[in-house]
Amino acid sequence: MFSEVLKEVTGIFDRRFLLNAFFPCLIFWGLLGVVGVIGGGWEPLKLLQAWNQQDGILKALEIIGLIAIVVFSASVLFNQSNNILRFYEGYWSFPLGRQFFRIGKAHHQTCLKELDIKSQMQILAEKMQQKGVELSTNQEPKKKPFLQEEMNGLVAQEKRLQQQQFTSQEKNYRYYPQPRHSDEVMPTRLGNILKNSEKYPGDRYNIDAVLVWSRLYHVLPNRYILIITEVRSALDFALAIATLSGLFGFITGVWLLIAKAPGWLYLLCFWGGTLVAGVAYQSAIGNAAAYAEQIKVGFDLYRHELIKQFRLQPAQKPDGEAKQWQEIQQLLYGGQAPSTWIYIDPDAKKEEASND
Amino acid sequence: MTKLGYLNLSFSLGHLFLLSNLILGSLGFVYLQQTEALSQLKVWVPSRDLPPYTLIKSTDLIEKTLLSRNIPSESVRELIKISDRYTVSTITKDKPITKKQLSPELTLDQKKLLQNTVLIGILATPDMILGGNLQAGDQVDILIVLEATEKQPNPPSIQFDNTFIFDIRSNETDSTAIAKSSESVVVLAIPADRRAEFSRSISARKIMLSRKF
Repeated sequence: MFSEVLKEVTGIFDRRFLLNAFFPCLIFWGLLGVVGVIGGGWEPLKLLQAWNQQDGILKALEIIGLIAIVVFSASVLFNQSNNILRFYEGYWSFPLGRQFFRIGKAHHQTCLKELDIKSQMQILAEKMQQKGVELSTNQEPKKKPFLQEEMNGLVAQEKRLQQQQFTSQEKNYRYYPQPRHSDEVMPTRLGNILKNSEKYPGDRYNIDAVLVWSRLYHVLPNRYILIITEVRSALDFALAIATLSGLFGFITGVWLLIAKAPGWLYLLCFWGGTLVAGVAYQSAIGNAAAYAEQIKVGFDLYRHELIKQFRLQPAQKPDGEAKQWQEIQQLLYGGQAPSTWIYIDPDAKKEEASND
Repeated sequence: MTKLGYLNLSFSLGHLFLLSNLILGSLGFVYLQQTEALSQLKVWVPSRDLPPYTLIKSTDLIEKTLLSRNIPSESVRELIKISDRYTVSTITKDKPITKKQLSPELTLDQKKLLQNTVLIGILATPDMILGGNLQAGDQVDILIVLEATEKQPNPPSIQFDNTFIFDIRSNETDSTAIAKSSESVVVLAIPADRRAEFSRSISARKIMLSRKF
């Protein structure tokens, strides 16, 4: 969603293309070629000699062909950056995708539950209340120490939760949507970070992020656009590396098994490729957190600018703001402006100020 | 998600990915190791480095078990096909021997012909080696003719009959002027007692190699 709008920024397209797609593809094809040659049992030195003995025109054609393959694959990688991002977010339509989605979602729902200190405190308070009643109504002196011990345990647990509250809140803010959106949890960490940024404007200001972002983008200052484009570029780069490394591990693994290559080479390529993919994905998580933070910053700081662009007066109270955004969204979706709206002429205001 | 008593185990996709990766990697490695063990072959290899133009004796060879992928497709593995043949390039110790590294198989007559000979290399133009059709193992007659002068319009010629061509090497990999003119080096087995005569006669004279039908 946000990414499509960001694509309009073409100022640093060339650099982004080279860094995020061309060079990774060049290295990918180069390594694939080297492993292909070694795994196939060909001697690289002899191949080089054979290549040297070729006609100049043939050599030129081969180089052009290689560059064409690299440029083509780099273009595909670059143009598919949104789909790659969606894949890592957890929007899967491949066979078994639903099963994987379920497993991942269940895990992250558990993680989110652990971060929901408020609910845990509520459950604990109920337990403590119950235990308190049991203690006060207990008639058996033998049972009393046990009940008291249980009560102490609950108090200690409450203390622990209170201590964890801030860190859990912080984690929740960065990595997961609010616990009330637990049904919308994504199966991957990266997906949840971006889902969090998507849900943030709605939770805080009642803003439909998907609808408003493309409009908000036009009132954002250049320095902000530059920062968010850089952050997105870093995210795309990490995901491109993760994708190509994963592909490298898979393709070379299959090829080396077919070619009955040495076991060490198979392990080096298969585990090496997937290890680099894992490291790149971890790096992408950090970049995604920075990207999500910037999106939140955009809504926090510039939403009033958008309201001014609608020629409306920004609301004075938080309740009023939620209502105002509700009305704007109603206008955008349904085409009906509330009768209470009064447009402000910002130019007239400026003139008045200058006259005074 | 699985619940086991007090343990609340929750498997993330990362765990699944890691686990499947470890399993696939290990299975693939085991498969390749087994394939490798099944694809070993016994090959006769030199027990020492053999310089070019050395007669290989059976004592120069040992039998070794090598992985089939380390044995070139054009290698010669049997002892009978290697011994009593000459090397035409350096053969490294413990490495399989390829056809290109060996001279042609010699008949009894050729073995007799090679007795008491020395190997001498001469530069040959494409026409001298019959446009590339002359091969190692061929027998040729060599005619060395002096340049005709006014004083000696019919100079005498020197002939070396039934000479064995030991090896023909092209200079294509060389970037010198020789390579540019597509010259080759023909290694000839010249009778040892006529070595000096051959050396004297080839300088500044026209040499012609001719093969009999």
